[in-house]
Amino acid sequence: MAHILVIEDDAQFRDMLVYMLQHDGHRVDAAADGEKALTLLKEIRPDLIITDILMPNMDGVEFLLELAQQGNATPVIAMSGGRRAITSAFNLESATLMGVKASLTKPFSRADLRQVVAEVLA
Amino acid sequence: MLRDVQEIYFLLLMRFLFTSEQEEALVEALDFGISMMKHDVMPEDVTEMHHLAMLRISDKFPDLLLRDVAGQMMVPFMEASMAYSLALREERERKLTLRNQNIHAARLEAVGTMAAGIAHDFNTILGVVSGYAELLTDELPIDSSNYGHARQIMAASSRARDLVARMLAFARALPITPVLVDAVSLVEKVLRLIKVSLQSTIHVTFTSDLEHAYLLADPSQLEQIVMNLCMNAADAMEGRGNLEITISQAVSLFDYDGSERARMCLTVTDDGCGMSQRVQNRILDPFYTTKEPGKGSGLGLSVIYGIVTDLQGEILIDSETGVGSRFRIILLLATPSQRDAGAGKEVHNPHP
Repeated sequence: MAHILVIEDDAQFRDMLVYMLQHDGHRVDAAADGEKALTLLKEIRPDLIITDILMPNMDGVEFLLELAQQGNATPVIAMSGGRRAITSAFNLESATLMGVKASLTKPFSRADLRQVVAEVLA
Repeated sequence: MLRDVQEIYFLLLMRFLFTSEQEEALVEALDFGISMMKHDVMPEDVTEMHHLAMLRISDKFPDLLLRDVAGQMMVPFMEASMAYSLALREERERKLTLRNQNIHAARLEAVGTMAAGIAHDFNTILGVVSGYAELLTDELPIDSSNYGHARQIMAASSRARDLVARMLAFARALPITPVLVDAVSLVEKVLRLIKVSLQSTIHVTFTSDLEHAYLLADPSQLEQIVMNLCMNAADAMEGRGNLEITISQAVSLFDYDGSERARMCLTVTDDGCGMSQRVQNRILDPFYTTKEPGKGSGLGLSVIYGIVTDLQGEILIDSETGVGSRFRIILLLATPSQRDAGAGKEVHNPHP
């Protein structure tokens, strides 16, 4: 099982994701925004990052940009809940180059989460 | 204006009363009625016009007994005033329909904008509701009634998700509302993203002659233009070369009314493989691509062409095989009044 970092500003959603992933046997750390995640990443080396795109402070795009500039090699799953988040400024082509391997559109099922996580970790 | 109306009507009446061209005068009266409406003549002025014409005829022909011709004079007046009233009513109905349509469109737009604004938060909340319901179903015995209840929560969440998706689809179908956007800061922002994506052997430079270049456009469309042109250039350079982006003042256009419209030029130059004349001729066609199957959709440049055309802009392409390509996008800058009007709605960081 893997070590996963979850970045999500909504506390309820974050707790739920953590619970689901932990119940699938993963070791999970969580952060409320990109800035906190970057601080956390100085201490931990996760196998996978699952990040929301729209967040206060440092949002997902800024976070991924910073991560890419630091030479990140950790695979990323991006979560979004609305239009444009992945299709426009943060377009798929550059998202892929910033380490995004897959995306999940909220709300997603536990089965979708399991499947995407398994695919990315495979 | 009113004096002209009175004069025309007087001559028309004279023609009807004292010549043999009565039919022609009546046709003229009908056109005259419509024309009065178009020139915003008020209903009371139409009555006044007839009254004044009668007085003028009395003055001009003192021997003529008004009672002999009064009935006859009513014929062209009726013709003109009926045409006037009908046209006025039609115009009022048209304005009312237009107003109702505008109100309807504004309402739809408000719904779409609201949907787009709350979609992310709303879907996150829905994710919590359906996620915990799913956790319950995973932990409850399948034959328990609580399992059934949790399944109902999941089904309702799924319906809510579909509803949001429909509202979003509707929002996407709405025409794009242009906002005031600074092309210089937009290009800087997109280049920050692009630089990360490109190999370090591609040297990217950006210079602007203008401190700000304000346009009225949809920021995500402008981002798409810059992103697409740069990605195409990077492909043409095959991992090595110079990508130069500039913003400069372009030759102004003159509107029909003689007013000057300042324009800017966004130039993307690469020293990649370049394009043959044959490729250049087809480069803006939809689905045309020089990339390997599966690599390019062939939609990039045709989409750019569509966006630029909608913005009343131009695309100029110069390219030479083995030397490189230069794409110039010429766009109208916002007028000072558009800039003032849009100052409050200016977009610097156009994320959703």
